[in-house]
Amino acid sequence: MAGNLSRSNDLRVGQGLFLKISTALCVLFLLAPLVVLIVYSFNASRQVTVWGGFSLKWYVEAFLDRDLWTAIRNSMLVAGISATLSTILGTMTALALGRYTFRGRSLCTGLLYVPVIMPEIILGIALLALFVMLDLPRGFVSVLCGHITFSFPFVALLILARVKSLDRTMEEASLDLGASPWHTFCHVLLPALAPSIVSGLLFSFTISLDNFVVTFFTTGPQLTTLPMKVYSMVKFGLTPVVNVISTLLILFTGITLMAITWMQQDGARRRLGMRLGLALAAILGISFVVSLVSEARQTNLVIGTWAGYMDPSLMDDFESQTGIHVILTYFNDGEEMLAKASFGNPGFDLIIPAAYAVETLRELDLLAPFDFERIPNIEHIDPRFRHLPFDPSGQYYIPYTYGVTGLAYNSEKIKEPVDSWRILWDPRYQDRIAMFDDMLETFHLAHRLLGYDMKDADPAHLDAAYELLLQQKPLLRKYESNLVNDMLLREEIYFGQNWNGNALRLIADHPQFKFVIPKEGSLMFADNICLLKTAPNPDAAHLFIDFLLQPENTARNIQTIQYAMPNPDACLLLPQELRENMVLFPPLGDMSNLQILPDYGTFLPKINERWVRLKSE
Amino acid sequence: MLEIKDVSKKYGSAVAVNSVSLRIERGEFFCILGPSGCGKTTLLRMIAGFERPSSGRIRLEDTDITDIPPYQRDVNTVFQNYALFPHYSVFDNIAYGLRAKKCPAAEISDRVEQAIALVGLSDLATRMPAQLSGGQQQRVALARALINRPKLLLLDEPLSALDKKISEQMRYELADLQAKTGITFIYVTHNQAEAMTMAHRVVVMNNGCVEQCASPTELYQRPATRFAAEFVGSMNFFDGTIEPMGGDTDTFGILLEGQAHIRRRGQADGKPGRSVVFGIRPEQLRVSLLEPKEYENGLFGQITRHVFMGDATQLQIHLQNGKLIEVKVPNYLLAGDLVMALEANEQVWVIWSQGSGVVLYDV
Repeated sequence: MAGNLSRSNDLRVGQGLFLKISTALCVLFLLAPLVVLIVYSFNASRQVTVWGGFSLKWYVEAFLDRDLWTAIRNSMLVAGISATLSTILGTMTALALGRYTFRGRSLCTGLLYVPVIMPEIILGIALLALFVMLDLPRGFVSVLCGHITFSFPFVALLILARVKSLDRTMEEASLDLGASPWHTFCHVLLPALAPSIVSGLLFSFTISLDNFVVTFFTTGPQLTTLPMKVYSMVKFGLTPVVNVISTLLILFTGITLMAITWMQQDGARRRLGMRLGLALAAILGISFVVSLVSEARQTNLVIGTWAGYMDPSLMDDFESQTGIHVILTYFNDGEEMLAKASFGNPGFDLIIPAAYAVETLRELDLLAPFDFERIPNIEHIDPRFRHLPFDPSGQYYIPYTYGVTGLAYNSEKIKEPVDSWRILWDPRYQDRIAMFDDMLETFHLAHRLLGYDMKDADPAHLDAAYELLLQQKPLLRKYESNLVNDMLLREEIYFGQNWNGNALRLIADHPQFKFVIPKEGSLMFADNICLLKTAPNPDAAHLFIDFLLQPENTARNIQTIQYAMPNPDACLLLPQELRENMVLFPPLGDMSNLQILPDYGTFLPKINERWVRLKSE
Repeated sequence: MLEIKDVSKKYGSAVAVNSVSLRIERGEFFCILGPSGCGKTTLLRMIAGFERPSSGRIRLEDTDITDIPPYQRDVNTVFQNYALFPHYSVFDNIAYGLRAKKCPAAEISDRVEQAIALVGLSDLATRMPAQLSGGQQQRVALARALINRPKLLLLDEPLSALDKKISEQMRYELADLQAKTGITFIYVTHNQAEAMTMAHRVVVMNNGCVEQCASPTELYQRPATRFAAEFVGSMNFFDGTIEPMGGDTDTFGILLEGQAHIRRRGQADGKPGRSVVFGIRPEQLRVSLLEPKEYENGLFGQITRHVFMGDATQLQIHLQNGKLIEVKVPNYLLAGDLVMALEANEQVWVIWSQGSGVVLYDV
């Protein structure tokens, strides 16, 4: 009866078809991305958005990736400790603000909102500036401080709301019954605050776990968290490994929530929940201890690089040979590398910059020359790479990888021979063409087709190049850099500018695609290993480079990361089909037709201005 | 037992309790009565130790407890909203005080069983507070406070949240409990009926000051101030002047409102001409169509309102001198809907005995 009454009193919005449909849509929008994510973690294809059959290989790959697990461990550790400390600090703050009157109380309450409202990036920069000023080494402690800074106000505000709504007579009753203030705090106040303390803990754990910006600014080379690792992996093409990590995280979160829910129930469920919670805690605890113990050792060598850019098994071998532990830490782009290498005392030994960055780093006087006496294996390096234009002396860099921008196309759709960039201007293929979403790649190509060199920095040439690109624009499907492979595979485009390493991954699974370096020539990249002046451990760095350049090791590295390296002796050790792979090792000739991207300096803003204009046309 | 000496409590410039002195005897059921904001709860909180007096001392037996924190006082409180711990069962709530004092477990369970039995909740020991009715929660709060065997039990309007029937029943239970345990009770309320039914002595407070401290009977029959008289029951007041002595020495005369002459048994406590207030309760008055006898006082007026209240009828009478008074007539004679067939607008005599009423001198 009461139920009927209350129902006839409500707004009758709970009954219509509209409500059912909108509820279903809400749930769908909420869950659809997660379902897609989980399904694609079982994708056999390398492409994140193209289904290629069921497979568990990405799970295997994820489980074997040592760096990934280190990143997960780091994230859990940072999130766990910062959430615990934030919760303790937040509870104390909330009690102080909610229970006591003192001068400046409202100011303190207001200040709590500052980290909540302030854009994270400002907080990140402010923390970085502070840590540099205090000369606090960036790493675990600084990240922890950063995370506590932004997460404890959330906890404090959450608990403060609860403290304010709390009836004080409960505490008075306890004191009245003869319980000391401490006993009262433990047995009356804490249980009353428990729900908001638990949600504060979970909340701060989550925001700390997926924090990127503050971590980015406060971390040092020795600490990579999961979000940073994932972001860095994205740079080298999203693989379903990212889906695997996400699926595992969803599973972990789900189990945790289930354990918490069960713990609040009675009887068998509660015991089950307790066991589940204990098991989770035990697994986490053991893996933390194991990984910490295995890391708390000897000399370290810190290398700043891109994710997936060096075979991790080589690090293990190097470690077992020399006892030097190698820590790989990841950048997301060249700008980040430059920034981090030049700011304060960065803590890296070796970094792997692109050609133009070597120039910049040298100008900033951040590099130390190598002592080739201590690197006998330098003799295996292709002489064409020893004195590249960005450092003719050849003392400040060790050539690491190289690659070429070429043209990837679908040979099932294009029957005519493809040997010229001009085909990208062919109106027959309107809407089937993609160019890189990258101003240097596109303008370099246009200059080259017009017979100019962009390094001349001639505005007239630039205008001509702009006109050429403008001509091409109506034919383009899109300017796109990261998803060229996916677009080719879905046959949205037949042609696309592509890097050879990227094309290699596509062609390995789908042989109908071809890769050529058109006869007009192209842009080439060469990544290099450089030694920082501030390197804490230059001896280990020399040892490591000599180890890396041994042909057997370079060969292994090439096979793992699938990038060409200028080490002919190593190439001889590769399996035949890899050695003769024209995509992995495009013919370079005397390299006169290939240009390594230089630092365009003051010409860059002009290129950028044309590029912005072009894209907005 | 408990001695409150010259205790004041100020919040900034506001005075909540103004120089109160009281003595409460061992085994007494003592009631603090007053309207909200009169300072009664503040006084109670100072006895419990939640507030510190701005000045004055409080002594319990031979100890000065003014500066002792609440958890070291041999005093327990039953709160207005009961303040049960929602996360503990009835048993754990009651055991709280003993556990806090680290009693042995066996003793705890014995004493809790006794306390639960004392308040008649033996079947509900495992329930949580949220599963109890208001009256049951009240009993748990009582048991929780009594289990510590305090020297003094403070009760802060404990019945105000209960509905009328249960609250009336609880009055007797509380009085019985107090008699059975012999513990001194200090009971704070704004409800004069509770104070009258349970207390041995009542103190009436107003604006932080004590108006009167007396037994319920004395308080009702001989209120010391106009406030006390009005707060406990109701009363009609007349401004009056003592008249010069007549021949008769058993009574003295009062001139009411400068018009009506009445006689009052006893001796005047002042010289003729002194201003007084004469008060008389509505139930001490009767109405009649006949003139008063010579041993009675009477005023003539007209019935203007007429409220049937079940056990009695409340009449409002407009006196000749222009004043309105209330008369409460027991309904022992009902003719139709009317008491003694009195109708509105009827002209009647309002009559009372020369011994009834109070004369208040300090006005």
